[in-house]
Amino acid sequence: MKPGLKNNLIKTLMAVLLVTAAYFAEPIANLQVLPFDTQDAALFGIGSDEYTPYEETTDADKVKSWVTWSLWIAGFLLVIVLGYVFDIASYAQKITGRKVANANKINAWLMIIFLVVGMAFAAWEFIVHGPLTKVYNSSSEHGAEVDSMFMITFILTLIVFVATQIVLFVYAFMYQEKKGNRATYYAHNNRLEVFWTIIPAIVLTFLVLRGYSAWKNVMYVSDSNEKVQEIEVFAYQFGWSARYPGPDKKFGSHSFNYISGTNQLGLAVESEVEEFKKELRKDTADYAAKLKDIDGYIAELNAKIEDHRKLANFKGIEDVNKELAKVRNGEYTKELELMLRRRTKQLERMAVVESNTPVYEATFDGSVHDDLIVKEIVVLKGQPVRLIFRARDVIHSAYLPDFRVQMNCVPGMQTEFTFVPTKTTDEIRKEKSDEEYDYYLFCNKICGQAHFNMKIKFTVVESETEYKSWLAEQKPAFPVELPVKKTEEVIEVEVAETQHNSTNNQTI
Amino acid sequence: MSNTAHIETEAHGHDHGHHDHHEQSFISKYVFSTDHKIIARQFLITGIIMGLIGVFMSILFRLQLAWPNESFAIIEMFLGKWGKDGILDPNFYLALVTIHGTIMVFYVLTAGLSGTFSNLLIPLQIGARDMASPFMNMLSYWFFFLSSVVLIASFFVETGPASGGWTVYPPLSALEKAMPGSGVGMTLWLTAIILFIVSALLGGINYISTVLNMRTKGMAMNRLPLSIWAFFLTAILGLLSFPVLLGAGLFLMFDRMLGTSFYLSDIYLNGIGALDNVGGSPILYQHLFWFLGHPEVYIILMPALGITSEVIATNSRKPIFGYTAMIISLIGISFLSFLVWGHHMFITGMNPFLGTMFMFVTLVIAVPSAVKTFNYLATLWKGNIRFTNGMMFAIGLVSFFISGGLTGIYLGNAALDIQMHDTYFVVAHFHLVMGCAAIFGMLAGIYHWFPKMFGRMMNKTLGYFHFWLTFASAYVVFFPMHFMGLAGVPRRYYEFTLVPEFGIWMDVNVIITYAAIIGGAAQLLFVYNFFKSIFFGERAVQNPWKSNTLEWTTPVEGIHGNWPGPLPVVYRGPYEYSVPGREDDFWPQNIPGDDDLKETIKAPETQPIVEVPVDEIPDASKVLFSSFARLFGFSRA
Repeated sequence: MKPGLKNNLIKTLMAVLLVTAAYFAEPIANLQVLPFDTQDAALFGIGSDEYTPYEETTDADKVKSWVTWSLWIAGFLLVIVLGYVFDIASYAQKITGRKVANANKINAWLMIIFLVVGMAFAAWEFIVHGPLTKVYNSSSEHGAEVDSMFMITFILTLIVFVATQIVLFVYAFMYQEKKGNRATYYAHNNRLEVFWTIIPAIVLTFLVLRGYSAWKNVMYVSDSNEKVQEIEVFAYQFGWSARYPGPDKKFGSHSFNYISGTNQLGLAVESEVEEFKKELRKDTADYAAKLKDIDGYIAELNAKIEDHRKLANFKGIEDVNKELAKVRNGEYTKELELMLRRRTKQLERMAVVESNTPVYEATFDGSVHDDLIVKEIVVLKGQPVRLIFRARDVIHSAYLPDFRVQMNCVPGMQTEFTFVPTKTTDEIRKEKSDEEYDYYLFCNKICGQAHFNMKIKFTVVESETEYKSWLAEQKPAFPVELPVKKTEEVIEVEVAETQHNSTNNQTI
Repeated sequence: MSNTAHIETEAHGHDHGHHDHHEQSFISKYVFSTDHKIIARQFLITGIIMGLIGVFMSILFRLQLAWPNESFAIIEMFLGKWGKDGILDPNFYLALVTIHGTIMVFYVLTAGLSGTFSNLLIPLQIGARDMASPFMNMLSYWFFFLSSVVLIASFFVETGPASGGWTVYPPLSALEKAMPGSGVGMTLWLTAIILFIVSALLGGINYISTVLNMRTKGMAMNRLPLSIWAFFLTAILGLLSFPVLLGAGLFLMFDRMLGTSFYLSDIYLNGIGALDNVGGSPILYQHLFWFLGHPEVYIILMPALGITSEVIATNSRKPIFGYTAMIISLIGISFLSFLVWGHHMFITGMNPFLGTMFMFVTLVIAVPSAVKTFNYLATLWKGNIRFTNGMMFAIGLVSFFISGGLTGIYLGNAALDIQMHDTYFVVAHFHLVMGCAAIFGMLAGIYHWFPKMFGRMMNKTLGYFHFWLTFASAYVVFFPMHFMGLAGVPRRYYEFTLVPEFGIWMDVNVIITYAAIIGGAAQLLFVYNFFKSIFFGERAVQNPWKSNTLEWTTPVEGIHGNWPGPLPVVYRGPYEYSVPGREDDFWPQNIPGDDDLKETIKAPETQPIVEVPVDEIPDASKVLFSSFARLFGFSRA
């Protein structure tokens, strides 16, 4: 047999094998392996995947699956057929001894075509998508500087980009191999090399110095500016909340130790903290009790299994079995012990603050009571804003693209960014001719499942009265110390009163 | 053990010049092989398989980005419960992004690229019989293999693989309850990376000592091919930076498993409450990670640049322009790469002064990169260019290196980084300069040295199709991303439909996804061509590209010990193409010129050629000591 024929035969065989393999792979992929004894299986960690009862596949499903498979196979066959076609072409070339095509020439022309089409594509991008970018018309004072920095870099790099790409592809075309040609032996030219070391060095020095001055102006903002509106931005999985210091212009202190269901920011509010301590003590007692009564828990779980069995609730049985396995392999105990330790340590940390009178007084100095917690940030045009960032659980990043502002929010570390908004929400709407447009503060550091939807509205208003009236609408979260037991009515009245007071304070 | 012993006796046979082949068992020849050429193939094929997995993942999440919340049978088929009803789970989206990054950065472009070509080319191009320590070399591959298995295994745990981004910043990656992927999947990820580091270190030590100690007669450091210089410096970078990642990873393990607080402080977690970790810093991890992470970028890129230098010079039939300048810029890049890690952290709340310093150094690193680019262009000038598949990919690399490198000037500028950090601009930048450029370097290498590796040729026409489809689709995928990034679209978002402002980018996302699918399909052409050619390709001649370097003086079939007779002697640098006055337009390093012969006649056999035995595992301290001596002596001849 001719070797070429043999090769083709083998290739055909391979293709047939692949199709057959795909045919058999389909039912295997659909096969579900069920542990016959779920209880034992859970103990050994087998079958820990969620149990789903076997579902009859409908005809529609089968058809759908077949369509997918045949598409895949068709795609792969296409690849193989392409291979055949090219092979045949090269065989033909060999047999006839004539060059069917000069690959070198074709590719050289393709280089030029690619250059032209590629540059046209790039130009199209600049024209169509360029205007949608946020590199000009910034909405903040420092943003203008950042934008001009961008433009300088853009022009310089664009020149280099176009020039070098053209040189690359044109050289590739111009100096393609030609019969009888010989390359020029040219190994180095020190003057040339020095030239193109120094020129980039000079350009980069210029860019560095420009960048340094921009960076300095953005980052080093004087702390003592009286006019600065400070806003604390608090990031958590998956949302933001913001706190205004209130009329006293002073944030109440906070600690992650104080974070509770009713005190999401962990502010140092005495009554809240006292309540929370009770809760923590109760928790510790609970965990300790649970730790002592493991056998009881097992009995309880077994009883549950019996209940589920009567109702033929297999999903329930599975869940309880998982829990049982956890209890038996000690995971349950370990988890309880860990929780117990966490709560105990938390109480200890709180006690340390309490035992140190100066620290305690500084923490609970009452400045927290007029702090406003808001679900939307509103600032005044032209007034410097200092955003102070805190994170509760993981690293987040506060990103305000319209203002050229970004800063990470790091748990256990306070970061900040100061800037001056120069364009109100209304102005940007007019500019974009989009009535719905709003500024948002996005999360720009991967933080978990709902990272893509973690944002808070950021509004810039024009006039001071507008701003003040908005501030007045916001209620302080923890107005004054509430006596522990009160009827709801009294609380309502009191809240209304304090609101009234604070509104008065603010308008003054 | 018996296998190793067998190989050792086998190797001895060669040293004493007996070339009667003992039959090696399949296992000792192809599986637990200590032959650098086989190990190179093992690295390459594992790398290709991992690369296909990585590309496939990217296509799965591109489907979600282009058509959010639409059902795709293929997603359910492959992902099961993570793709219920054909819709990708948001957590699993992050997992795919994470593992795509990890696979591409470490498994394909570090091990697959450096592992393959350092192993293949270092002994062949410097004229050595094998690596300094073949056994360590074998271990290096098997640690890498094990690491790949562990990483892929993490797909089959209940909570899914690691999903905190390929940089796995704590606290997200440290807290099991912060996201599903931070459970067992994260532990497996860390285990895989630690195994990977072991592999990289074993390999790196070997590459360095081989280059320094085992060069053949006449192969001075300033006659080394640029590819070897690149591999050598890459190995040094790896050796200095990977241990830092090992430390970072171990600390993270401790935080996860032993309750330490290296990276954790003041954390309240939903559903758990306040944690008892106090005093750590998440930023510490970032410093440690990027101390590896930035040199890692060059660990990926430099071998690709080295390969390109080789391929461009050979196929332009010209000496590489500015050989010394190329080496100096490689050394400059290597040195500076250790001083720039902070540019990944401009907006972490790091002291702005540090930001300034890192900005200075980062923009300085652009100078040697620019020099390299200009030298490539100058090499093409007045050449006689043959568009072999390897050459096309090398030209593609230069194009990507320019496009992606220029955007680095924006990102290295701290003031601009405020706006661009973590947006699609960054995605576009590193995919072009590090992803595409490096993968094109790797493909150039594969097409160029395929005849050396497998003794057969790849199908040229399929190669052209592969090149043009990949080249064009890569640009269509990544070029529009710059504009998305400049419009403030953050990366790692599962969908953009929930943010009205980003709605305008939906059609761009569709274009990108189509291009990605075409680009992915083009890789099937390559895979078909690659595996078909291994078995059925046209038989290669000894020096198919008419190249100067020593690897083309070995027999086509690739024997154990590389050269049947004594090792070749080197008379000149590797890039003497189209030397005036010579009939051929190439001049292999081992072919003496008239002057060289005169010298030999003058001093016959003053320095007898000492063959380094293949099987001898040198004493570690000796290797280190003599390595330094050689390094400062600079020359072996």
